[in-house]
Amino acid sequence: MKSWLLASVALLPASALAAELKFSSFGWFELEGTAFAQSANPVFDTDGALQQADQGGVSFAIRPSFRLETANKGVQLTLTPFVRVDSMDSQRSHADLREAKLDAQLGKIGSVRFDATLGFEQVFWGKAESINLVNVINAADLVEDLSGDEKLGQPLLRLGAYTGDYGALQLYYLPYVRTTDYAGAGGRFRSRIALKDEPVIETAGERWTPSFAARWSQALGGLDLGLSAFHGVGRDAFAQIVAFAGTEPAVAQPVLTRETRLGIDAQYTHEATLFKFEGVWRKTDTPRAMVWRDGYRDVALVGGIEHTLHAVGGTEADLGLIAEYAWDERGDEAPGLFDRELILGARLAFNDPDDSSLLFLAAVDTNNGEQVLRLEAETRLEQGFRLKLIGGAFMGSKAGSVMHDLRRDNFLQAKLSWWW
Amino acid sequence: MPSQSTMRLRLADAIIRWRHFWAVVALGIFIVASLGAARLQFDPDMRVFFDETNAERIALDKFEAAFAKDDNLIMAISDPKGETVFTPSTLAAVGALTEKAWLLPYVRRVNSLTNFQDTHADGDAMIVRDLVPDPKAVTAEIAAHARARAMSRPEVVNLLVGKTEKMTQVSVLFRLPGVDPKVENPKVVEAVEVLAAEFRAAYPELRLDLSGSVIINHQFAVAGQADGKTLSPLMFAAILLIVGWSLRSGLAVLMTMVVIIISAVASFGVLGWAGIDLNTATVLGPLIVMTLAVSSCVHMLSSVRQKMTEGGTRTDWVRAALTQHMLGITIACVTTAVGFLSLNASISPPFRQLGNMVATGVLVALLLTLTLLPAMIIWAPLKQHAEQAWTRRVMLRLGDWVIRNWRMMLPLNLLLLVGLGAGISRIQLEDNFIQYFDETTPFRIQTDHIEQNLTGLNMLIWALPSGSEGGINEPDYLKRVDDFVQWLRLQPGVSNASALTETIKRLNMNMHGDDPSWQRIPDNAEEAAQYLFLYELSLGYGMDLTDQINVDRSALRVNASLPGASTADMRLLTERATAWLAQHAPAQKVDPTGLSHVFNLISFRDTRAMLTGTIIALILISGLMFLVLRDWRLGLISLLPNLVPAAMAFGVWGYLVGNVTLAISIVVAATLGIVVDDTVHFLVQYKEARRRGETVEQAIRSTFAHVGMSIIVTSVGFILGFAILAQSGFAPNADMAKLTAMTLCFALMTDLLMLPALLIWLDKRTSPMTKAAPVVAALSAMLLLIPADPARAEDMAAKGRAIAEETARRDSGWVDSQIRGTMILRDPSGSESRRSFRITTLEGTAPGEGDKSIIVFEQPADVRGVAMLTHAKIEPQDDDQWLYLPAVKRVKRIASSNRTGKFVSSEFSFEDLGSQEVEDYTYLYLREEACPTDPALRCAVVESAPKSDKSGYSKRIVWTDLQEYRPQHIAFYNRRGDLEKELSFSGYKRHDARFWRADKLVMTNKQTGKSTEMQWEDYRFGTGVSADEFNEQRLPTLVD
Repeated sequence: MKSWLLASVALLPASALAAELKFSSFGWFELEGTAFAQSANPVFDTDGALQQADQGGVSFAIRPSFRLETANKGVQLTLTPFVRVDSMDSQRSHADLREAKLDAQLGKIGSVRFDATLGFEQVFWGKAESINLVNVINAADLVEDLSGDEKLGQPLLRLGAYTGDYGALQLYYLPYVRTTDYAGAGGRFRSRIALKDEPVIETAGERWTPSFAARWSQALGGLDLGLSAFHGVGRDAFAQIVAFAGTEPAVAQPVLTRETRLGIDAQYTHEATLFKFEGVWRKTDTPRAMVWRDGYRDVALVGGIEHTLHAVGGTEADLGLIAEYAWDERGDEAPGLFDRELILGARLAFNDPDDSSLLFLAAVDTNNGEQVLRLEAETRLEQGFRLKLIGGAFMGSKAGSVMHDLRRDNFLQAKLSWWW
Repeated sequence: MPSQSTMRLRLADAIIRWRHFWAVVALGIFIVASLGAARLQFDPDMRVFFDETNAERIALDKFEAAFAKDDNLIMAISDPKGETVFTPSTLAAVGALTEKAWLLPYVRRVNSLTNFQDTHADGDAMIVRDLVPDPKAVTAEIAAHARARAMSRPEVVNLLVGKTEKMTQVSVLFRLPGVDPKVENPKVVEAVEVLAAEFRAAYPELRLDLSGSVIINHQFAVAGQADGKTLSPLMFAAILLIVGWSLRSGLAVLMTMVVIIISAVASFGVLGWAGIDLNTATVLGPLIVMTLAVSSCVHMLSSVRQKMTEGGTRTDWVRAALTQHMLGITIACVTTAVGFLSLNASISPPFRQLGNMVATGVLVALLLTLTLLPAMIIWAPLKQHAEQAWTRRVMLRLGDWVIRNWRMMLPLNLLLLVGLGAGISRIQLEDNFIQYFDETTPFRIQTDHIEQNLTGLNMLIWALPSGSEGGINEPDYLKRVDDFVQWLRLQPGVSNASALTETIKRLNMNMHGDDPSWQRIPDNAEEAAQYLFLYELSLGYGMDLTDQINVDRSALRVNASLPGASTADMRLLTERATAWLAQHAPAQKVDPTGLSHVFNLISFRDTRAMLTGTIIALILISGLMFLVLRDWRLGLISLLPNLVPAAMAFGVWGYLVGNVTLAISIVVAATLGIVVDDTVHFLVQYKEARRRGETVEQAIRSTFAHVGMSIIVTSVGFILGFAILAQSGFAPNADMAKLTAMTLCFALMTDLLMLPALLIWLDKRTSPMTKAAPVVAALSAMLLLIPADPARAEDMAAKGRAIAEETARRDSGWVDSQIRGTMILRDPSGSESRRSFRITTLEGTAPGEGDKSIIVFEQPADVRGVAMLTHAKIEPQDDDQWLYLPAVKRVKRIASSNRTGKFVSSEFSFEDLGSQEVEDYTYLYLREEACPTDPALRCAVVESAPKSDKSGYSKRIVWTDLQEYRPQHIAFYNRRGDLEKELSFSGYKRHDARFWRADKLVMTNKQTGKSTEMQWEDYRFGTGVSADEFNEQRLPTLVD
């Protein structure tokens, strides 16, 4: 029924539509200051030069959005570039197209409604608070945020079908592989081994290797369920040592290989308690250099509960308590921090006019006792201005683990952002 | 009969109309009072603290009439470097000083080492001569001889010479004529100071310390005057600070100064016209008046300051302020005056005078605050401030805090009361008149030095009667006296005890050829009489025995010096001595006397006397409270915060200090009148608020808002004022001020923390066990009678439900709607925050299915695009709710069990905004009346109680107009049954020729004073939005 709209846009009779189009612009600008408790160990960069990182730095970022849409939102054009300039790490000074897309409501066939997206897009799948195993469409922007919650815009074509009673199905075609940047030798949150910027993608098409994904989701009473599948270039890079400084590995080459994964994500909501679960099964090709392995087949799980106490202590604040456990079959070989982690957290939402909140998360590795602590506090200063303070600490790290490289990176960060 | 408020209004008008007259009246008061004040003189006698009817004073007067009323002077000489005073040079100095001392005015006798009447036998003859006959020509030998003679005499050691020989005194006795006490003592002291200066210049190596009753009298006078001089500027500065800080206006400070100065002068004036002299206690009266008068002024001025935010002219502000606060200020001042007037029960005249003078000052201050001050405000070019004083916001916050935590307050306060109150048992009455003066004063330094090395001013005196004229010569009697003296010397704390018996024993020995075995009481009366006669004949000029023997020779005087003894020690000794005398000389009961003894008992007696005064004050003040509040419950409640603070303050004093002077007796009565002010202000406002129909919490909030700050300001003012008075160098004044300041501190705490909690507790409880039982029971009975008619109840329920159904029916069939809303969140301080959003709603069609809605936020910018999708369910089932966060493109199912939670921190809870289904409530039709929003409309008033126990409400009362069945006004009652919020609908417009929608909804939280205004615009119905749009899967593509 509305598919004619798409057709019209495709034909661009712009003048005829101009009266119906609505332009809007919004976004934010952010100033960020970070201080680290200790100076980092100097490391060699990919050129073999010894680099020393500063103990703090400032940075700013801007993320404007421009949108052109028809009055009934049948068609939307969105452009959201993102630029960060960082005083410490040239690798962190980066730009990205978070969104550059065309959304269209395609109308209805029978009782099934269709929509589509074409362009750079951000997609979120998942339920858990600590790590979203099933969230696979976008590559993480690791220089922007170590948590991996910030994603690079992914070029894609999406087709959505909404049946109502039988849930919604999304099909994705990802023609191009986006890969994350890694912190440079002058920056923080970087490994002892310098990682080359440009990964090797061991598929025939290299960056233009197409990937495919699908997700079915449905709300069944109190249960929100999602099943997903992905086939294409994997998101977790292998680090292949390519140079040595003495006997120590000095430079590594990130390598991406083909991956197939199936995922399930579920949340059951009972009154003020949310029960969450995510699980993936992965089959990953090993890099060619690792001839002795013929691929990985592994499972990773994360699950837990979130319980909200309303109006704690007679105030208007809500206290959300989070407890999750993340398990990765690969154990220490898992690329991230969450291999055997118990995550405990509390979120205090003050429910004040300034939407102030406090979030505290502690992740404890039940294998080796490493702990990651994170504290976030944010509030609105004035209409349009938000202040966010983030503190992070990496404690009890054991030599040789991923976290050992971060042990000197305990930090305190303040972000002042202006929204329009 | 005109109502109270119209009477007040008329009075206010009269005051304003007659403002010129008031200025003249004030000027008149000032002139008359000044004339009175000019007559004032300072009475330095420390005996002013004792009434002429005081039993101890009568005893003392009688004693002094019988012996000699001597004022003494101690000139203590010590050689800081030397080992002993028995050196030729020191003795020469003593001799010189002794000689010069004879030249002092009113001198009667000078005793010193050099002129000590030494007796010895020369054959049969008894030689009486000076111990050092020629001080100018003392050799080492003579000095050694003098030392040997003196140190063997018990009546010398620790009296004329210290046991350690480091100090000796030249003791001067005066007999002041008593014709003009204001001149005589100062004249003596002046001469003494000249003499001392000469001596110190002549003998720089020697140290001279002055003490004795003439010095103490002088000290009493000086301390009072010094207090007046040093404390007055401090007081002015403090007042400047308080008034300036709280009112931020130089003019206000000036006006306050005018009022308090006239009041202070008036308090002086009343004393002057009554012909009473000033003394150490009353000299502080005007400062107390100033402290108290400031509060009235601040009250008036701050209320004017508050009224000016409402616009109008200065006259309007004044009229409004007068009308509103006239009663409160009057009550406050009158109760304060009553409290101080109750000091008339004190046995100590200075305190009676103080009470009367402060009461007068306070009443004058009241008159001026209600007349001159308004007149000045109208005349003065006072600046208008449009914004509300910042203080109000702070108060509201405090009020909220107290209301939130009220359950803690009572137990905490009780705990505090018990914990602190226990300290009262540690309080010791301590009236050592030496310690009345600060340790750092020269008087104390010198006196303490003398007490350490020689003797003390603390002296207990007994006049031991022999029972007959001339009976002192009886050997039995003399033996008893001697035994008593010996007994006294063994008592702890007694440094020296002496009586004429020592001399008689010595004379006996001298008459028997200096044979030490004869150093005892003569065997018969004749011998004793002869010896004394001989002795008196050979005494030098002025050295008679009249201070040791009474005129008819029927009694001997026994002295016991107790340097540094505490009042308690002295009282114990007194008791033991009385017991000893009762046992050994049962003929006549003998009590000790002397100034020390009189002071010893004054607190003890005055505490009892003032208990009566305090009770009278309490009754009068409580009576006034009942009269004002016209509520015996509140009156009773008011007693607690009036008495508790004094108990706490005394307890703290007990823990921290322990000793207290006679000031303690007047503190409760004096503070009662002050403490009660805050309670009155609080309760009057509270009652008024309750009368307006506010709930307990609302009433407490508005009370905090209205009077909280002035209570704090005046209390802080009082506390500061008394803290300054506490700097007085005179302990009774300082103690009184300290205790008062502490009491007021606790009073502030009690009034702001305990009283509200008490009110919440008592006014909220509905069980018949409460103290509020009669009122509550009557109300409960009435309430119980209503549902006793079941037929009617059923009827009313059906009618109520019918109205709800009709409302729902008329508001159904709109299928879907789109609106843009703006919420303006306001808090009582006036700060605003806005959020705007679009709401798309789809009417639920299937039975048991609620509406579906999506709210998408547009403002503030940092939540732009945040959306909430709700699938409403019929209660008690929870709604399904999803939140869409555009920043991370995440759709998250959220818990919706929290009905009572606030929607984006507005006063609308999720429950208020959720779809309202007829089945969610039970109904009760109450009445029909004019709509509160539009009196032209008739409204049905229906009570609806939610069926779900998750609801935050016990009931809602809905006013629905009977013309179109639109909700006009909703009152929400919380689970405790108190009115929590009120929602008003306005700007109803008809859409699509069918559906009425209000443009503006204002939700006011009656408990917190916050409100949220919801403005609706751009209503669109039947836009054809489909159910598919309300699919959580589509949130990312649909709403963003």
